Amino acid sequence: MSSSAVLDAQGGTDSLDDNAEPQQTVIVGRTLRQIAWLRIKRDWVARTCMFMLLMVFLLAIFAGPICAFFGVDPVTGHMELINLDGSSLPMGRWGGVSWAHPLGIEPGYGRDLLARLLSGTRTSLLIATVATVISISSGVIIGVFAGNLRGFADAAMSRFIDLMLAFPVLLLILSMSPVITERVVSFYSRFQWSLDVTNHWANITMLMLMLSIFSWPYLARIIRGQVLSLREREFVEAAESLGASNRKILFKELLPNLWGPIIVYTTLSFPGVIAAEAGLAYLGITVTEPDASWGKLINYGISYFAHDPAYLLFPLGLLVIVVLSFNLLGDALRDALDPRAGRG
Amino acid sequence: MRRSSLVRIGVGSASVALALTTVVGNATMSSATGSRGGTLYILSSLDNINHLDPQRNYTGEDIAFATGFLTRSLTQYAYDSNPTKAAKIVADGASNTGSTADSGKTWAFKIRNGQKWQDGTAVTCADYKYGISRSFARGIITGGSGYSVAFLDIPKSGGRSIYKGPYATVADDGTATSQKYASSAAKTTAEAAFNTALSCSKSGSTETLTFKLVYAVPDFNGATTLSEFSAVKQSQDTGASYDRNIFSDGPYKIDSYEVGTSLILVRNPNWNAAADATRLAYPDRIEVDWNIEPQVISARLIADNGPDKTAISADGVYSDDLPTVFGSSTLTARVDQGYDPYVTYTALDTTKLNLAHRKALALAWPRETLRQLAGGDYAGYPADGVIKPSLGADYAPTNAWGYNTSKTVHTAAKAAKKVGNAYVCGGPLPANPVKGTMCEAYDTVTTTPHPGLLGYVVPVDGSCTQAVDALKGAAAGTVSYAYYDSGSPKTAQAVAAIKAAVECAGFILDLNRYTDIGDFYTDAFSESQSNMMNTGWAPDWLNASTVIPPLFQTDNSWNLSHYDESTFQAKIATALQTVKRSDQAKLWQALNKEAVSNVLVIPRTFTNVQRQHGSGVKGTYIWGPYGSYNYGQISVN
Repeated sequence: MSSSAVLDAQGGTDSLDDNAEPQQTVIVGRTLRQIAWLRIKRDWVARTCMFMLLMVFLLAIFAGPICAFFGVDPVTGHMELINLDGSSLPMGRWGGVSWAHPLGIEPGYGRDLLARLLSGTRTSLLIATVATVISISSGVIIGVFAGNLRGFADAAMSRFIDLMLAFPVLLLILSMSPVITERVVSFYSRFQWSLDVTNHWANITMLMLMLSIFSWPYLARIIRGQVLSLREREFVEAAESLGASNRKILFKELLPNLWGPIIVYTTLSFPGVIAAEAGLAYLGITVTEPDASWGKLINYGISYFAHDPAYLLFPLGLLVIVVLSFNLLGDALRDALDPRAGRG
Repeated sequence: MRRSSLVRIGVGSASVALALTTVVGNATMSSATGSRGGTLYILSSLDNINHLDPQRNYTGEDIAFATGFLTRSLTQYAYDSNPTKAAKIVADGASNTGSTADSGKTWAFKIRNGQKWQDGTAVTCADYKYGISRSFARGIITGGSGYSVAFLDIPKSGGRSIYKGPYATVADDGTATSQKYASSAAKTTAEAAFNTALSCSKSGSTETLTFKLVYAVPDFNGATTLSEFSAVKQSQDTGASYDRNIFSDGPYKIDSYEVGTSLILVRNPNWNAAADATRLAYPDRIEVDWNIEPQVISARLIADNGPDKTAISADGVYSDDLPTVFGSSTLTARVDQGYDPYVTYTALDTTKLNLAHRKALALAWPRETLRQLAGGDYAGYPADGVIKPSLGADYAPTNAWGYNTSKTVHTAAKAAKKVGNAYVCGGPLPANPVKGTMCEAYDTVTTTPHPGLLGYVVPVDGSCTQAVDALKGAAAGTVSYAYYDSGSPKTAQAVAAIKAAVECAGFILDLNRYTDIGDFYTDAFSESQSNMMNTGWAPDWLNASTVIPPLFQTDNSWNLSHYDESTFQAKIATALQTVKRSDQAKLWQALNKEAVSNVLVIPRTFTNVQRQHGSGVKGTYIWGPYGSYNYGQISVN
């Protein structure tokens, strides 16, 4: 069945159709997109999640002005607010929460936690977004290729995807990250940036590349499966028999049916990338000082947890909110985009 | 001693000297602090002792352990809780502390009679000679301190000694390798050269071991405290695997040795207490337990239950537990504290950074922040050079950082002068403190700065303005900094603090972060050595001749500053040859000051160490020479 028109499951009248007269039934055709959007709008969980995520993204984008408003910055250490009895813990409760430092300060060097958290949010979201985009794009491209090819080529592509799935990715990352960083540094050196900036961006680029390796094979398999099932459907056969080129079939028939799973998978893989970034930080592969990232903050927070739990709980809380929101949103989207789902 | 490239974290505290009965060299020990019996447990987070083989043992802690229980060198340090007294050299395997008739080119040690191996046979001069010969077996006996190879007067070829140790054979095809001589003639020559340089002689019942050194080493009997000058019985030598089955001439012998799990020592039934002036051998059994998490060790010792009552920690007090332990008087009573042998510093490559830049870096360096991040007073005290107070006479304060003195002049109250209708006091500011008809008393404080070796009175945490001033308008440029990152957040914070401080002065910091210690060493010995290296050093024996030359003499082992200026090098050579100890000490003090004023290094901390022990352990203190426990004297009964 073509994707261009699906009748609303309710057969026309809709609770949002405010001006409809009860006795006049009008059949209104709605696209899947419209239906999905209606469903999302009705789902309070999805709405909350989208709002939360929007807030977090705004926090990341406006990190600078927010820090300036509170008069904090992520670089200056405040050793005068640290207990100098060998424990290096912040003075005061909750890790040094005060009007000057709304989320407290870090143990040891005393940098403001709010500023570091915002700067870390920006870094982590940037890395996760780009890594997700890279992995989704490569997954889709390879999946579509594999699904479209037949015979030996298809088999070869599938084995390649299986190989990538079986590969010990973590070991690959551990061993290759210094090499990749060096290559990227020499690539960026042509831009004649200062040493700090070059190292900063090289490191972030390396993390984006490393993190995108994790998830593309899964999506490639899913997409390949979808493509395989889709291309046997009548509307594709019809298009073929009408003489549509492969390219036209790809863009007009296949991809529109794929964006559903793609969107769902994106929202579900995003938290996976964030969690992977935290894991890599524990293994020492993280952004260079004095930058922050969620993984780094959580990793350090674990060291201090016994004596200064606030230092772990603030970044962890934010991470949990983001991951939970993405997961719940992904579930809601999957339900919303499923044409066979029940009532809205 | 093994160089330390780590920032020591969370160890040490203000030195608390525990008063103890001083052990004096006397065959019949009667210490008031202990008696025989019980099992001593040693809890360690490591996987294994690096080397027990005396010719391969180079780590201070391991030497202290081995020498307390299993092996004996010719000389030893005194077991004393006072670090200065502990620096005294006493005879151990020898019966004298060595004698030299020609100002240090030839040394003679009388071998102490009555020493027994664990099978009851006597320890002879030949055993000492055999043990020392093993250091020459390159490729098999690796990792040792190597001083016998460096000092004995045996010809060299191609930079290596011609003598290849006791295992070497003659090559079939005439190709010499590290363990094969090119011909039997070569073997004969080499062994003859060794026998000339190191010889045993007997007169009456006393055997004497004579060393002929390649140049005069006035403090050679300090070098003989090192484990490599211990005896090994030839028939019990198993070469590279001797690490795992030491044949003991000490009070204990190995009962079982499982790497990663435990090492158990039991009494050596043939140990002759009368032939041992230092070891008390109180516990019946010693068990080293490995692979215990540092937090767990700390928690167990704090809890002090059951067998942990007779346990001691091989690790320092866990940094997180420092406030707990020192906040309770009962727990503090079970902690021993003292200096360890290390000084941490940052080495500056003088070929890449000129004096103005080095001064600026030293002035900007956030020393106090770094010390606090390492644990504050528990980590150690601010250093003012590379020679530590625990080296005794070789140490003198260098006044590296300057200080202020203030003088308070008190002006007493007196009657005010009447001018017209008003009363005035006059005099210097604070102006005219008049009260009624009296001039109030006040104090005038004048602060006099005494600039240090760098020309300023430097605040404890460095000063950006002084650094900029020292640069005198020159461009700061990029500076590379190499450090070892163990993954601790404090390391990252220390680096952030350094970056902030150094960039304030206008430098650009290029960080070389090494997560593998091997890579750090590779950087140190490469052409592209980083401009600044964060490292540490401990003397191999208690004479600054094992500090200044290795760090600053051209081409010496840990010279990262590469300061080849001829008068400076000549002074080092002179000090090495000075026989009179007190004169030599003064020369070392002067060289220390010169190293600091030329900023060959930025001194950081004189590190401390503290260890916890269970309530059943008696007689412990931190032994100055190694910063370890006084293993040979601990009692658990």
